[in-house]
Amino acid sequence: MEDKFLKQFDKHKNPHKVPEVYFGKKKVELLTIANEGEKTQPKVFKLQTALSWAAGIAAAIVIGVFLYPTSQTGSIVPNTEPALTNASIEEYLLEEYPASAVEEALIINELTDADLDAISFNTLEENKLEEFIDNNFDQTLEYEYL
Amino acid sequence: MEERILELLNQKEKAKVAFELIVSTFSERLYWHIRRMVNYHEDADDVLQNTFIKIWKNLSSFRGDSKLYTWLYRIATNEALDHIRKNKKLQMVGTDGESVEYDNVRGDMYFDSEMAEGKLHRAIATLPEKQRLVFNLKYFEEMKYEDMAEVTGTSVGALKASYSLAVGKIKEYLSKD
Repeated sequence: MEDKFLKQFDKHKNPHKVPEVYFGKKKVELLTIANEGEKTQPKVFKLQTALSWAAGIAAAIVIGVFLYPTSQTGSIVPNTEPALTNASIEEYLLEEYPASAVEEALIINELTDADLDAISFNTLEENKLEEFIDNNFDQTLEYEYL
Repeated sequence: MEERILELLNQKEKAKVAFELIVSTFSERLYWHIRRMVNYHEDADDVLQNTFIKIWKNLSSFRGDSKLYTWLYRIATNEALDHIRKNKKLQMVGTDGESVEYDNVRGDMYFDSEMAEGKLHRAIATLPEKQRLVFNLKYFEEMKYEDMAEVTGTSVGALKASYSLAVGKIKEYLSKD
């Protein structure tokens, strides 16, 4: 059901314009994406190159087989590094991965003690939470095309 | 048309033909969806290009778990939101929180601000990006909430709430204008 006030507008009248014959030209341009993709797809392997790779892989396997028993009998070096604290792990994550933590950090930083006291977590409704997030934080959808 | 494209996608050697059909069927619709999100024609043009590059790269992995058109809209939406995000980082922060988006619409040479519908589009430009997305999909694309849920990865209930909030804000904006 659409709100009455929206009926004063004609949704098919569009104030956004495009340059002349834009869509015709753009379609041709977009079709070249597939052509360029095709050009880079086929790869012809030379027999000599393939044999060199095969010889290299075989050599690596042989070396691996000879080295494997040695590594099993080697002594285990005790870890002398001091144990990591939760605080240092959090600090590291925030420094290295700020994008992943930014929204949580913003939520925590922007709420004062008084805000937290005012929120009754038992009665928090999905709509209100949605509205709060919509109005206060950027929204980005996940990249999942599958 | 969607069925024909899906048939072609099942045959690997026909992927290019399927892509050509997608371009001819959906490029204009996706352009307008993107344009309503980013406002500027030049930006919409760039985002559309990136969208079709992603579509081509991921076409072989499309298995038909969702509708083809919602999959295409999802990619376009993500690209548009990504573009908005990047632009926000580049833009200087104005004194008025909503003025940047508003000026984008008003300053675009491909925007007719004299039309009555221009007011509505200016109001839409002031919405937070998710509400703008939901409003555009519902009002202009007339998309079902179930399909919108596939595009946005959001529940139907949350979408209805977002749409209702968006309508309220637009109404308020228009009453002040």
